[in-house]
Formats: sequence, structure tokens, C-alpha cells
Amino acid sequence: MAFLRNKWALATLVVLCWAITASLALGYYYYQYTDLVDRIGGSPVPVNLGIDYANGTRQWFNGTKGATLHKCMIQAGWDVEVTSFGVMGLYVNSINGVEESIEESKSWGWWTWTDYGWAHGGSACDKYIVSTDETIIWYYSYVDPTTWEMTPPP
Amino acid sequence: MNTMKVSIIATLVALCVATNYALVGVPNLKAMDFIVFVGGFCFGPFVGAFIGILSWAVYGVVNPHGFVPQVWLATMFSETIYGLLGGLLGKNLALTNFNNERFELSVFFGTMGFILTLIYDLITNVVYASTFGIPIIAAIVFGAPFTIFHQVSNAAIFGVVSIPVIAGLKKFVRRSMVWHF
Repeated sequence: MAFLRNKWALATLVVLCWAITASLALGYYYYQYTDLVDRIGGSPVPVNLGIDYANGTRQWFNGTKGATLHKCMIQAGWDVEVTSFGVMGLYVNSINGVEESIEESKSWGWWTWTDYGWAHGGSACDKYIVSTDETIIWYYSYVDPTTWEMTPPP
Repeated sequence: MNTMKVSIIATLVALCVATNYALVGVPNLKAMDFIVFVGGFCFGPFVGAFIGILSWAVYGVVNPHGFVPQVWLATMFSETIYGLLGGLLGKNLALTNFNNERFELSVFFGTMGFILTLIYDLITNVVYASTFGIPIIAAIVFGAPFTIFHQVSNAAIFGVVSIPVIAGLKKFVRRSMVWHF
């Protein structure tokens, strides 16, 4: 069997077996992890949560506990309206009755405080796992209609 | 089918059933898959498949883990893949000198054991999930530790034991035939 003399073909078979094993193990531990997180409701940690309506009103809810940013918002007692985009997560349409406005090109975005100032949150609020004592603010930002860039909080 | 083939099938089936009961305390560690494969390799795909079916026909009915007809049928017919592929490989490797390519053949047999076990486990998991109304993906994922153990143990058995057993069995059969005639 000429196939046996091809070392690369044999190596490919071995790597294929390893990949199947690793994928099965990954799937198993991922399901175990998500199941565990669902059962214990995540691991809530305190964060400094703020909201800025871009009209001079800024409120802080320090010490709010939650595992994800969305859970923190609910824990803080906010009235949040969202649209689900499946695995992409939740898109926030309105907070405490203030809805996004296409006419004024304004929408809600969240920012986290870093050593260099406010950094825009890179994911949906229900997908973001918060860190202990992290400072996060929701800002009703103006969105540049040409670049889709959001104005950071002052 | 001559007398010798019948006796070989009966012996290998008995070996499968006996080793299954002996290893009943270790889930998914089975010598049966290897015996069926070797049976197919040395005596042809249909003999191999037949050994698989007969072994499960006996062991599956008096199974210490319980008897579920759908799962039993699935395991019985999935087991044939070891014998069928063993038989096809046996025909292709008939002229190969085992001493010259011992390492390559061991690796090849090991990976074959792994891949055949993956197919076997996938089929039986799908049938198990359908029978008990469990989502198929969940059945596969939650059964992953058993599947991995089954695949790795079979890869090790196929890889290490195939060449000595096949070589010994072929020598034995050749000698028996000389004696017979």
C-alpha cells in the first residue's frame, strides 16, 4: 500500500485524530461551563455603573452587582428595552424611557474607564463579563452618520 | 462457508462475548471491536461483519447495562463496520510485509481504530438520542468523555496489538490448513 510510505499522509491521519479528540473535549467542557454558569447565575461582582443622558444628567449606581453588564443594568433597576440578535447578543434600544433617535443620530453605547480615558465597549452588554470594581457608563452618544463613530462621554 | 471458517467465527464470537463480560466494569474499554476487525482482516469483510453481528446478538440480549431494542440493533449493525473495513484492508494489505513497515502499519491501524470508533459512537449516540428523545448534539457532547476514552483505547489496542495478532493468526491458519490437507 503506497499510502503507508507517505509519512505526511500518516501524520495527517494522526493530527486528524487529535483534532477530533480536542474538539470533542472542547465541546464537552464548553457545555459543562455554560451549564454551571446558568445554574449559579454567573458570579456577580460589584461594579460602578453610570448613565449619562447627554443633557447634563449623569447618575452613578456604585456597587451594583452582576455577572454581565446587562445583569448589572437590571440589578440597578433600569428600564431597559432591547432587541436580541441571537449569538451576537442584545442591542439596547432604550434606557429609562430614552430611546435611540435615527433623526438626531443618537444611540446608546457603553464605555469603560481605562488609564487612558473612556474606551468604547466592544460587545453586546449581555456578552460582556464585568470585572470587580470596573467603572462603566452608558452614554447617549451622537453617532457620526458617515463613519459610525460614537462620541465618547465627557 | 467451510467448517474451518465456521469454527473460526464461533471462536472469535465466543472471544468477543467473553472479553465483553470480563471488561464489563470498565465502560467503553472493549477488545470486541479489535477482534471483529482482525476477523475481517484475516478472513474477509463478510466474516468480520458476521462476527460483529453475532457477538452483539448474544451480548446485547444479555447485556448487564440493560436491553433497549433500538440501541441493540444500532450497536449490532454498527459493529459490522470494524469487520467490513478490516476485510477491505486485509485485501489491500495482503502482499504487504509487516516486518518492513511495522511502525507505519501500527500508526495506520491505530488511526483506523480511532476513526472507526468515532463512526460507531456517532451512530449509536444518534440512535440513543432518538430513542430517548434527547437532542442529538447534547447526547454527543455529554457522551464525549466516554467517546474519547473508547476512541483512544481502541487506537491504542489497534495500534499495538494488530500486527502481532494478525501475523500470528495468519501463521496459525496456514499451518492448520497444511495439517488439514
